[in-house]
Amino acid sequence: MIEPHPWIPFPDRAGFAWPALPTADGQAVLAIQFQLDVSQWLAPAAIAEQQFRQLRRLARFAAERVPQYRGHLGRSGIADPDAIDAQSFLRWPVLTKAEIQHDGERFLAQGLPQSHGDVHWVSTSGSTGQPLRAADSGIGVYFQQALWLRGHLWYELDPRGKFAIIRSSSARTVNPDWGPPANMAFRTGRSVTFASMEYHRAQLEWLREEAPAYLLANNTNLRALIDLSLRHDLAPTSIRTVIGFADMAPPDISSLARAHWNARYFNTYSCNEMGVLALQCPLTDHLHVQSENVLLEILRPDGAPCAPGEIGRVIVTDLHNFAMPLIRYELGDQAAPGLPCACGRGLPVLEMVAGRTHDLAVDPTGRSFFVHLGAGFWTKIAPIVQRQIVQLAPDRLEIRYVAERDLSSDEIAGLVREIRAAMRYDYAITCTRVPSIALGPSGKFVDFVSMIRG
Amino acid sequence: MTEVPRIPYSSIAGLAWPALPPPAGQAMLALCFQLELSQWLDAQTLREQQLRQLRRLVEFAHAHVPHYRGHLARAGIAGAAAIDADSFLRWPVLTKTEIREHGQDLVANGIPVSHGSISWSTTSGSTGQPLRAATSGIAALFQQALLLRMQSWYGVDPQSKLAVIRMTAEIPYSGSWGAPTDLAFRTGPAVKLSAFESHEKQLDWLCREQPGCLIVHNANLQALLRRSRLHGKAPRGLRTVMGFSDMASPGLRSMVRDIWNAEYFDTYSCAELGPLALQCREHANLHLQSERGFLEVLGADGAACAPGEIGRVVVTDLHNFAMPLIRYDLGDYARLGPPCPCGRGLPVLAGIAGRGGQIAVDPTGRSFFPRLNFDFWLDVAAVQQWQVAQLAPADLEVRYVGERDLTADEQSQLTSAIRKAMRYDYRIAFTRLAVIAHAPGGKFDDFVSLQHHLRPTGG
Repeated sequence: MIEPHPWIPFPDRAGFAWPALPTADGQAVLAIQFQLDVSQWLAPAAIAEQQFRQLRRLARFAAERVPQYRGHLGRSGIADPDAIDAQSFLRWPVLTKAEIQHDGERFLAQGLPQSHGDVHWVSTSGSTGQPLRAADSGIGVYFQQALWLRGHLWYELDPRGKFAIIRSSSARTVNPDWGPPANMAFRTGRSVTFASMEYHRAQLEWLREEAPAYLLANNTNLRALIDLSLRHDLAPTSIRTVIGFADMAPPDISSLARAHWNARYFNTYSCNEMGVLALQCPLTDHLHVQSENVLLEILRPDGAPCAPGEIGRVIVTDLHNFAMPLIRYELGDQAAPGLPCACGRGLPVLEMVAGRTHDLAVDPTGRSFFVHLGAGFWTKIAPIVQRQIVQLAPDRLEIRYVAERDLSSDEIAGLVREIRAAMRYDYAITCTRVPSIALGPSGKFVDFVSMIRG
Repeated sequence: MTEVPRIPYSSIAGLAWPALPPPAGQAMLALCFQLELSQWLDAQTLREQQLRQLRRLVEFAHAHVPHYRGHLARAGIAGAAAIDADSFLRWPVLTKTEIREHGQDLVANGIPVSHGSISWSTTSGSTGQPLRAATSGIAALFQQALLLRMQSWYGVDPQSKLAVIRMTAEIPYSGSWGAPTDLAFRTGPAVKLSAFESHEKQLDWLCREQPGCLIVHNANLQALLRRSRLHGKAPRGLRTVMGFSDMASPGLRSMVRDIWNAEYFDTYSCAELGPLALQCREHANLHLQSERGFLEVLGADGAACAPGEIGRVVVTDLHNFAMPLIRYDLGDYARLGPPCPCGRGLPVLAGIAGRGGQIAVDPTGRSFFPRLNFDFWLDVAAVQQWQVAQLAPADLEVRYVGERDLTADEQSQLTSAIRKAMRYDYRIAFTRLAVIAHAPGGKFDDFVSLQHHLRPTGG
């Protein structure tokens, strides 16, 4: 029996094998992939033109239905959404995380069209450690998923392979397929998940036990796993491709993955609010902005756009989230626009300069692990605006937080209890309210800081 | 020329790009996505996929189509699962005569509801023998997807005006191109004209309508180009011309570019299956549309021809379960070519003759596709239409439409040119006619043979 070639969809009609007509959901998935397949090769100007077509629709909707944006057009001196272009859009006010933290309700659309699907909520602290909640529409999530699938296609993953995911929000699970959108149109192998807070040794053992073909993991965590596998000769040899996400990619990660795991490495740039912002080019080490879903700007301090190679602030607009439109949203990352990629794709090139990063945690027994406590962890305990965990010694932590008031003794007790449980050791913990949290070396915000050297 | 992006439209409020069109459009784009990937599969993988689909079809046909009951056994094939490229050569070839005489036996006793409703069409095909064929909704959908691939390959802008000149033109104007294009894309208007109108009228109409895209019979196109050059009239704004039906003459592509400043692309199709081969986007090669039809080129003994050998074209519609046409002899002759340098795995059809009657012979027994350079002929004598007919192995007749008889000198030049092109010193007679009739079904051939029982032996 000949196996179907990778990425040939499964049909829902009797008698059809190839080409296939999947279910209605699957057809929608492929309809989007078809467009993404075409649009990546459009000239940069044509891509920008299509982005602004979509942006004008979003801006019109936001101006009419979203309290936060009422009057934005007038204040920006833009006569009408149809008058939005690359120049006039520079006058639209930049949105900070503090504004959403302060009054997120004002960003919610009043009357989302039913065709945009159900509203989903995500919690994030992103690159700056400022926890907030953001809503997205079904359609918005749909486009985010479509871009992950594009990544799978770009990296020529074989959908029949096992896919492993290690992330902060996951428990240990075994799933029959890769989940949406891949499973709507394709027969895929299983996927398995594991928590990034687990000890690195446990993560490695899990990888060797599961023997996946593919791994998606936080870059910092991934780097630690490769280091540990090298020290203990525990390389997960089944892995063919590794995709890194969330934290900044350590510069040597690609060569380490190749040398020690014999795996190809691809980087991604994403945020919880919008999903994929950029995917590494399948042919080069450039990051390609996913312009079909986000309009990404890199701005100088004066608000003007940066020239290629010039470092600036990353500002993004989610083109499809009408539930809680995030228009010109400052992520807190720094990047520089790159020159066009040699691959021929018209999607802009991004050079990441400073994004989220973590140091690794240890406990007094010497076990190392990755710590990322999501936004929901903090906000359920206390009204924290920004936070950072600092490991002062193997058994001692300091929680630095920004808030409008000191935490109560009950809140602190709760926080200490939760952190000890999450980090599986009874650390001595002090909580310190600070006016602001300083950036780490190179201007990066460090989510978890370790003062332990060597 | 800069290519205009083909962006589908969306049925969801506020969504412009990327778009989610209505369900029928999503189905179309879902197929387009697969075609986009499959064109780059290697030839072996494409063949494997075809065989996967073919086995499903055969399994169904064997169980539900009276005509095919017992075919597996007669072919010495244990079951549908045992079908491969070799065993399939033993499956009996289906002739048009069989369809005409036993058509009802080819209709399936009930197709799955999911295959959609059945539509009937009548075609004369290349051999001019009319027959009726039933097509399922799903098979029609696959045909349509190939039309979208064709537009995509050739960079056709769906928002431009489309002009179609063909035998039937019941609706002379419509606000959109119709299916499949408008299932997913906003289109410009479409205008249609009957190919039976005079070339003078056709050219005037094109100049008046100024379409961006034209679909036309190849022979008709040739005549229009000649007229256009003769009278210095050309339609403005035309970017893409897609030829179909008749065999394209070698100089057609450059004529379209020189005279109309447009890109020309050739296609090979039949009414029963739709597009069988489309010209490569980058090269002059015709690519088989392997996702839809399983096309074989067979020698006189029924064995598969090697690349370069001329043989009969036998096709299998992989998706039409309503009236499965399995190993259907189209009556055309063709030869396969080497892989295309574009990198697509879709096989190359190197040459096609509309039917056996387009194959020339000479008294030595050599048979071949004649390639007659009409461009050169136009320089010799300003005539409106030409056709060369082979009356006997050593005798040709040149039929032409013109305002006057050709002079002896003109006849002499043409005689030399034809003998050189056909590599034999034929006896050649010249006959001036008021009009040269199209073959039944509207196709026009620049070469016709009145010889019978031809057995092509080489290109």
